[in-house]
Amino acid sequence: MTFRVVAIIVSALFTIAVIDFIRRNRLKERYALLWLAAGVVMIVLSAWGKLLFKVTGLLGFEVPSNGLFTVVLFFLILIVFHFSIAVSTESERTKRLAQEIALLKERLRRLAPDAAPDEPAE
Amino acid sequence: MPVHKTLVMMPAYNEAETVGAVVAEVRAAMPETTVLVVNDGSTDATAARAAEAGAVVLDLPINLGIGGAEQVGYRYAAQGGYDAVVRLDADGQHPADEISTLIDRLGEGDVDVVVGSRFLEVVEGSFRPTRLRRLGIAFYARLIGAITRRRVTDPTSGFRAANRRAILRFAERYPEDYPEPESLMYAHRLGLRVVEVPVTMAVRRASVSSINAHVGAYYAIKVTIAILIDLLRGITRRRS
Repeated sequence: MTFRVVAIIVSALFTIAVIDFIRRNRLKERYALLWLAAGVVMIVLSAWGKLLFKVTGLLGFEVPSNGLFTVVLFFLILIVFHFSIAVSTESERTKRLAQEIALLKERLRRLAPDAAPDEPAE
Repeated sequence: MPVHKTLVMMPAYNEAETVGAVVAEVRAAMPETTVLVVNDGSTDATAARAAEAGAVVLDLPINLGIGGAEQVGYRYAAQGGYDAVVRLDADGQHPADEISTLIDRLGEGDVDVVVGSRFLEVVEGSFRPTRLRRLGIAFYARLIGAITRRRVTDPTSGFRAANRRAILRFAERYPEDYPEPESLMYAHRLGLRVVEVPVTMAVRRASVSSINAHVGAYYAIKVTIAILIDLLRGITRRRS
């Protein structure tokens, strides 16, 4: 019983933290949905203990915790892989921006030497 | 197709000690040619030394690695209407008086990329890499040679010339990190004609190779995978 209370509180805190990060514009909506859903699932599973038994039983797991670990692990792998792709996309964009800045700085130095923000510095 | 407008390009990361002298040598050897130094987010005076020596400087605000720095050089050449880019190292490893060797070969018009090779003709007393490095070079030479069915002896050589056709493709996309072996595969897949010419290279002046023992293993595996992935790209593209 106490464990269940702790689990509910932790899940609720997690969900509140997610909402707070969205509120402060620290978390993009496209990732926010994922984590909000995770928070809700955590709350439901800790409040309604038998649900886990039912679901994992339906999936054919003899021990409910095994079902939980398998499902969670599977989703975590998917999420981490998704983030690797997102990081790759971002690094490609950063590269392009850096190159564009270098080209523009050179052009500015050539066209308006006095206005150039920084000569190649020491 | 004779070469009219040549750009000599050097990616440089913390090469303040050597870059000025190398720029000066190139300008002495080829007074008509624009020398471009791509400062890859150096923390030293690389950009200042290069500009003092008379180079055009592209200042990358962050360090992109050799591939990203080279690519912006090709983009500069694409925008500036250059019909040849010669790429060399800012550490003085590639002799300025051999630049014309590459350009002359490119000017014959039957090739798109010319690679200066240390191993086509071995000159007594010239630069010779360590045994482990030679082993790595030989491995990539075999691998790329087998795939592209061309003679490859120096796949890690950064002493290269590219014509307008190659410049435009490289400006679009270029391999990252340590691009030399992979870019040979890439060029082959794009249908660019690559050829090697023998050159003599000096020993590096001040800086050490960017590939030390620590990153050596990573480099070897990464480049091998990159080459194989590029092979796969060619296969899937042909099918689609």
